[in-house]
Amino acid sequence: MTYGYHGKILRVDLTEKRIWVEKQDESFFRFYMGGGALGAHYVCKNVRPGTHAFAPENIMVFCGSVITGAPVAGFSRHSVTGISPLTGGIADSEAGGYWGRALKEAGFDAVVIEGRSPEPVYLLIDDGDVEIKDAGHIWGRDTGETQDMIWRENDDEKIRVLGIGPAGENEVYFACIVSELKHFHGRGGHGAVMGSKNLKAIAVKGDKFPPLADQEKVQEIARNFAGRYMDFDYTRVLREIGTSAGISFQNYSGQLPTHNWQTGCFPGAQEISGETMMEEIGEDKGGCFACPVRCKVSVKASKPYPISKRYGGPEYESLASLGSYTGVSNLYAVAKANELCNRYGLDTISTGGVIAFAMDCYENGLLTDEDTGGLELKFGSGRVLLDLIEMIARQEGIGHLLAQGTKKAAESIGGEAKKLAVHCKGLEFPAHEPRVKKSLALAYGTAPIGADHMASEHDFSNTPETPAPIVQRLWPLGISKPLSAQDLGPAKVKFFYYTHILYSVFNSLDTCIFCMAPLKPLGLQELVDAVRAVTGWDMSLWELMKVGERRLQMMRVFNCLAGLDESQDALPPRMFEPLQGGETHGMAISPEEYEKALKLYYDMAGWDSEGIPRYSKLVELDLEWVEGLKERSG
Amino acid sequence: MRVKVKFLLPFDDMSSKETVMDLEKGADVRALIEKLSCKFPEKEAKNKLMIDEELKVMVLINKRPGNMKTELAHGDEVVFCPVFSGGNCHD
Repeated sequence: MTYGYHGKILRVDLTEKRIWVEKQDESFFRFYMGGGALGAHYVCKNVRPGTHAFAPENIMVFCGSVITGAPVAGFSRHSVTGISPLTGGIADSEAGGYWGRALKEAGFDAVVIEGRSPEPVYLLIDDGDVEIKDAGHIWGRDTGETQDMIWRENDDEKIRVLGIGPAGENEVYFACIVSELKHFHGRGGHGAVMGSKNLKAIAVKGDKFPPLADQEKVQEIARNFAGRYMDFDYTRVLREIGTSAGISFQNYSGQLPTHNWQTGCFPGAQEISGETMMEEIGEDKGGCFACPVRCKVSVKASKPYPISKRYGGPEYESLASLGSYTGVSNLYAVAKANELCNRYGLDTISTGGVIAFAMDCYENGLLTDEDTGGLELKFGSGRVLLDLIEMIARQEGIGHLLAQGTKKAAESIGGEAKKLAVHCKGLEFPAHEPRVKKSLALAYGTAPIGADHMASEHDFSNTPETPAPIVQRLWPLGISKPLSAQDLGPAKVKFFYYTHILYSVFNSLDTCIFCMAPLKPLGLQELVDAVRAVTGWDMSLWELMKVGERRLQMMRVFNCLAGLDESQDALPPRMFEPLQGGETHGMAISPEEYEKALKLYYDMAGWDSEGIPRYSKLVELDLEWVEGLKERSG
Repeated sequence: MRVKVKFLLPFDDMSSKETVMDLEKGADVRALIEKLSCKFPEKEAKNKLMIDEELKVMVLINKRPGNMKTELAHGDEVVFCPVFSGGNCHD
């Protein structure tokens, strides 16, 4: 008898149209648990490092974790893992909503997709029965139409649909996967990989959710959360206006990335702030399974652009990347851009990032009217923003160049363009400023997926000015020394190292960081208690941390063998240039302080001076088998 | 002396936009919260901003982080806001 999970992995070979079920025992699930850890296991076991993301040999692993779908706030998420077209390395990406629980209700813990279908298909998983269905008639449709058509032809609007739009079909390198139109596997270009496999969607339904070991305890933890979340300022803000609240604070404190990261102060911040958005176009609130916070805001407008609330509304990241990065302060243009990204299936962060890069190139004469087909790529133009999104999704004109992502576009443009390209490993920067919160320099530089703001706790959770009740919630990890956000010394490296592993636990359990300590209600011991109550295992924080570490080390070994060596841990040149204007004027990272922190981190993480995991570290985590990858990588 | 006080979400119900407070010369952040509590008892400033006599929110003075003991000066702008860390749901 298993609790919280089935022990069943669904395997699908799209080339051969073969479907089979693989069973994994308790020790496997206790060792990998789910999310990116389980995904990395399957990628490392089945894919040769260096395989192109769009090759049929790349695989996609969709899964939640052993606790996904248990009725506790934050336990709703699921992930996809595979090779990213942007980085060429392994990457995972998580999304919230209801799909993760629905997959378990359909009878499986994970779906592993391999091969490439010769024609468009979608996968229907219905209460344990699995069918590869024709999607020829759906191909070319946007994400909303795709969901509608799958609902209609199966005569069931309760089927949970995860799929791609035209951008994924057209293999735009930063195409995302959209779940129920409002939840996104945004980062890493997994939507393009799905497109390369001719897989339009995975639709799931069923009634087979596994039993929980201690139902009463699970309910008690859920009740405690529901009773406390409004006492936590962060979750209160999320409840009231969602992540968009971040715009005002980030701009006020000089940290809102503006004009392709030239400054942290955006004169148009008020117009695109969460407060303005709620007042002018806010429509309703939604959220994820079993979560009372309901942080997702939908927006609606009829003029000057029709914006449908079906596709949700812009989060903080989307307002910043499509707004302040590009200098566009027209709220309606930014909200429409967000809707287009969601319909076509484009990651808003990378989309805004690559467009801001192109605008910077244009303003510096590196792209000309001839290159752009006459489009004037000036910072601040909402019309250009919307035109470019259309062109990128269809790979038309200048859109074809930008659809490869910032890194490849900069290589094609050549010259000084690399100096304006803001990415790590090929993944565009999310909207948090490493020159202000310096632990993010290590996070962006070394996280396996590239520039990842969800890879570790941010500095302001542990500064001398941070309220004591928040700082103290990190003590169970062994972090008790508050540090300035501007510090990148040895103690900050430790802060990053420990919280990086903690966030890797969250990625392996597929839990939502908006519910977790230190800033949000669910404490670390409560998380451990919840895993115990769902699975019946005698779990500890130590054991969970080892799962998190396992995920990171598997991904690092894979990436090293895929050619992502230490040179790929470099920061983009702009991070060494001082911020301009406002309270953060002059803040920069020095190459020396970053190099010193990076080398110390390598050593702390059990890597050699070139950033390659040592054999002893792999042994300590029972990952000796990963060494076998070397032979397969040639 | 006179300071300007602003509240970002979720404390924005403490004042319509911003409020001006008159304080004794040399007053610190703690004194400001005491004064806010007296001026707007219905807003429960102490409960919202403090726990066990400690700050439970971030305070920025002229856009720089401060604490309970930070001394204020005439013309200062004081902002109370939650600790924002990071994150979004567009992963």
